[in-house]
Amino acid sequence: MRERFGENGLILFLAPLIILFLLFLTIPVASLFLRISPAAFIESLGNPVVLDALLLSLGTATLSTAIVILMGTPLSYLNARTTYPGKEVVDTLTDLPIVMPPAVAGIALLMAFGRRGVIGEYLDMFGLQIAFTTLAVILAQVFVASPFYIRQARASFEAVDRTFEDAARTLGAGRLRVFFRVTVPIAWSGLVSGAILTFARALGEFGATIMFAGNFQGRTQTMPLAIYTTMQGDLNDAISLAIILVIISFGVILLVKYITRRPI
Amino acid sequence: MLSVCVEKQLRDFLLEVSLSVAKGKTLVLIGENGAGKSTVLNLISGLLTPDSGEVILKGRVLYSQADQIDVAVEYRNIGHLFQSYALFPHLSVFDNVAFGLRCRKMPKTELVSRVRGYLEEMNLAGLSGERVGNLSGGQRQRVALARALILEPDLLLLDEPLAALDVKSQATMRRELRESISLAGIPAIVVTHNFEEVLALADRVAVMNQGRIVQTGPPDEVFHRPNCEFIAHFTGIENIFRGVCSKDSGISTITIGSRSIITASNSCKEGTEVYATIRPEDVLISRTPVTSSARNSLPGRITGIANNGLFVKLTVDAGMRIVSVLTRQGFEEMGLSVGDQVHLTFKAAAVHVF
Repeated sequence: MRERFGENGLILFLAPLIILFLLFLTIPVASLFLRISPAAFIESLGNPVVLDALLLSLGTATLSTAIVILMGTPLSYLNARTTYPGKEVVDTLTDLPIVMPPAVAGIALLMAFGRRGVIGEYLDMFGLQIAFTTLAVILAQVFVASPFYIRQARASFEAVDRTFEDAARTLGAGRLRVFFRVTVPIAWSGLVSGAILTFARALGEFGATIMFAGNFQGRTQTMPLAIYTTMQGDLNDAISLAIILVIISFGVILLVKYITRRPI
Repeated sequence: MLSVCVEKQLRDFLLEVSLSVAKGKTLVLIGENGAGKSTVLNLISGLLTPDSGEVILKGRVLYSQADQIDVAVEYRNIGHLFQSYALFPHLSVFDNVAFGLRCRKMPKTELVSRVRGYLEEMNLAGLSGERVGNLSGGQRQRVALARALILEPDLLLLDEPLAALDVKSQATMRRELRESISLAGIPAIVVTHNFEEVLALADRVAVMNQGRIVQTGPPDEVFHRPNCEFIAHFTGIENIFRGVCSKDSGISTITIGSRSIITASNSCKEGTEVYATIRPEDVLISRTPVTSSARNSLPGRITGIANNGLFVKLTVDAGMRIVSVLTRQGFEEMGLSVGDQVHLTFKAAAVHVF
């Protein structure tokens, strides 16, 4: 077969398939840009619904990424470096949100933190309400987006040769110093790309948010929710928001590729 | 002065080692892979904790099971060099060498001048800003050594220090290593499985097998009088024979196939099977039988000649395969070639039995 086709032959043979698939992927995205004039786009940016959603999205996604890094890093490191009974179960639990439909995550969070939820019931006695607040948006994002960071961080920590840590300790560095001065810098590109993916996933969160946090402009209406809402009114606003999300997503993926390709 | 006496249960065997190294002396640990050599280093530097025992360095107890003392790795002040050198890939040469001083919170101006001075001493000044990934093997070794020695450690542990280098730079680095160790004036332990490294670096050799030190002494003693088959194999004694002992009026003879050789060793018991070893450099080659005080003289035929630089290694079929090493000069003067009939002569004292 190779004799008859050669590499160029193979490319020619498969080209129509590849082109078709690439068109399928790019035409919808391109259509977003083609369906709106620059003037209309800029006008939409002035719409408080669009602006509120943009700011809320960026704010909550940043916060939830920070929370995931803070909570997820120790867990990832522990799982990368130690063995303990039930480690596989812990690992599976942290992976679960990836395969869970967001709607399931939303209802699960509601059952836990809702006013009559397992925990929410007690919080309610102290006058604390989580569901349908900005905090709920963040919790939903943390819940669905954390696996992206935790998985990547664990793999990155595992890839750090232990001898580096050992050597640092014999040179007089305590465990904390070893972690921040040796382990983290060596694992850096993996940690950053994990964090970026988490940020991107948080930014796109829809299902869990709308169920657990509701759809209130300025409080819980993030960009995906605003797109869904504005689509029923002014299509231009929806398209503008979609374009912003596409640009951010594209930038994020490009950034990840750049960071992970660069040698340390 | 370092004195160690530790026990640790490993997966395959119980590691049980006691050793001591005096100030300015180098102990070389040799043994097969998996004999527990690196583990001993890790137990001393604190990266592993013994099950029981004691580690005392310069009068300071670093570990004692009886007194519940276990000084943390970072406070032991031991220079530990790893086989891979473990240079931090995210740091420059300068920052690698400065790492330990930074841990000790040295003021910046002092730190910079100390590190600069040290890099110059080690011939590394030009590489100061270089990432360690761009260094050659020899340079890496120098940086690793500088990184450890700049802290003025009380002990130096080197795990296969030259294994990652090509043969050519091994000789240079071996010399540099020896100088650095003697300059530091501290006890050192070197793990290796390289014969030449032992001869070049060791004041004493300890042979490890299955977690125990099976023989210890000055290198020549260990290599000329190996007390077990393992050491004989390890040190490259190529003439190892299995034979049966017989004794006649105090003289021990070992019968190997149709030949027999005489040994001065007294570890021969009548009728027992033993191993006999002869170091290749102890076997004399001549064209005709020579009359001498040497008790063993065997006729044979040269079956192989291998050039080894200054030396030539001859393989002779004398009813058994015997290897002899002679200088290139001697070899050329005799005009030997494969197929030649020769006589092998060696003293009874050169035949070691165990």
